[in-house]
Amino acid sequence: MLTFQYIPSARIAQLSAEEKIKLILALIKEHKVLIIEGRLQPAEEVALIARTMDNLYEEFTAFKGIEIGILQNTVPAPEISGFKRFKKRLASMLVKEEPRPEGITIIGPAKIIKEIKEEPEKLEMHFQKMFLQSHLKIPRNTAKKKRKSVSGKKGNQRKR
Amino acid sequence: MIAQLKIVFQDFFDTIFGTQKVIRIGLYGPPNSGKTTLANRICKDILNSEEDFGEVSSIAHETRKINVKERVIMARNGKKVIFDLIDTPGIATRIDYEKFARAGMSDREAKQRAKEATRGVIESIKWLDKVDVVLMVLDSTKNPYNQVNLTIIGNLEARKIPVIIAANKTDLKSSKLDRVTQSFPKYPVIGISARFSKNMDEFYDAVLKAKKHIRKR
Repeated sequence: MLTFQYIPSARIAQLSAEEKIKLILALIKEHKVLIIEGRLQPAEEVALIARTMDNLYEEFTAFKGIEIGILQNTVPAPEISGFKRFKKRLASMLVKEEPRPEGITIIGPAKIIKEIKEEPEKLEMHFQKMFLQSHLKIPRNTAKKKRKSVSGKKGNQRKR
Repeated sequence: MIAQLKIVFQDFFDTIFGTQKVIRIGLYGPPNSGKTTLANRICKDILNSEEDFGEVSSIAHETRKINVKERVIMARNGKKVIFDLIDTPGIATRIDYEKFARAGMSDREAKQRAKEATRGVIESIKWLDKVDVVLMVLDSTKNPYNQVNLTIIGNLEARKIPVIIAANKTDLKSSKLDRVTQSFPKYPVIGISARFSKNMDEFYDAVLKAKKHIRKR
């Protein structure tokens, strides 16, 4: 079974970088694909990679690492004229409105996700063939055909 | 002639007053993008060294330790830079020892390589704190817009470390330099072939220019 777990930004906003990374890796090891509202800080992202490697060193036959993909909001916010902007700022100050985090982060176990292909406005998740065969009951011959086409493509890439 | 004289005088003053700062240039990027091939090329071009700086291989994670070439002096067009060249292991979020085994290694060798590769990634990340300029080496035949590349660049941007993107392997037919340029519009992108020494002059000029943007620490 494939589980997607949504983590709203409010759940992790108060956590330290260390706590966030611990939580993420614990859920990844339960074979969950995480959909996190917003994104981690650049330093947290790098720390997550380093911690993943630490975990890999300890148990690299069971844990293969992670795949990360981030979809950012590339559409600029509409421009508001002077008085309207003042009104909006004042209102958000009075009700203590927190700005919404932009974009979403997808993190999954490398055992399940083969690759996350990123484009500025699109994310494509490619699953591991073994996972598709065993969990989603995709027949073996379909996977074989897929593998053939992939290896053919690779061969072309290497031609000079 | 004037350019050469300028370097001679600069050398003289630097020696007397010890004013020339040695900068640290780090070669970063994903595994198998050609970081060590570029390090070897730089050593051959600048030091006229016949000896390779590091081993290269088609199997990923060949470089699993930080390699430093100290005090490389590059002088071009009246400008001079002294740098330590740091070749780092490729940064990845996953390492699968079975891939190494499929490439012909024994099970024991594959596991050992995977373990060393994890340590290499951690070392590369630690060295992000120590470099002054980063040469981000990307394989121009592959999609450059992936999260590991974006994470490293985002991190360097937060630390205000100048980045030059070397879009390597432009000698290959499947190379797409435009795709790299479009993915990183804020950075200088130089298309090169480290293996065949293509467009290296433009690359060295970009390294000299980057020196100006180093922030004092």
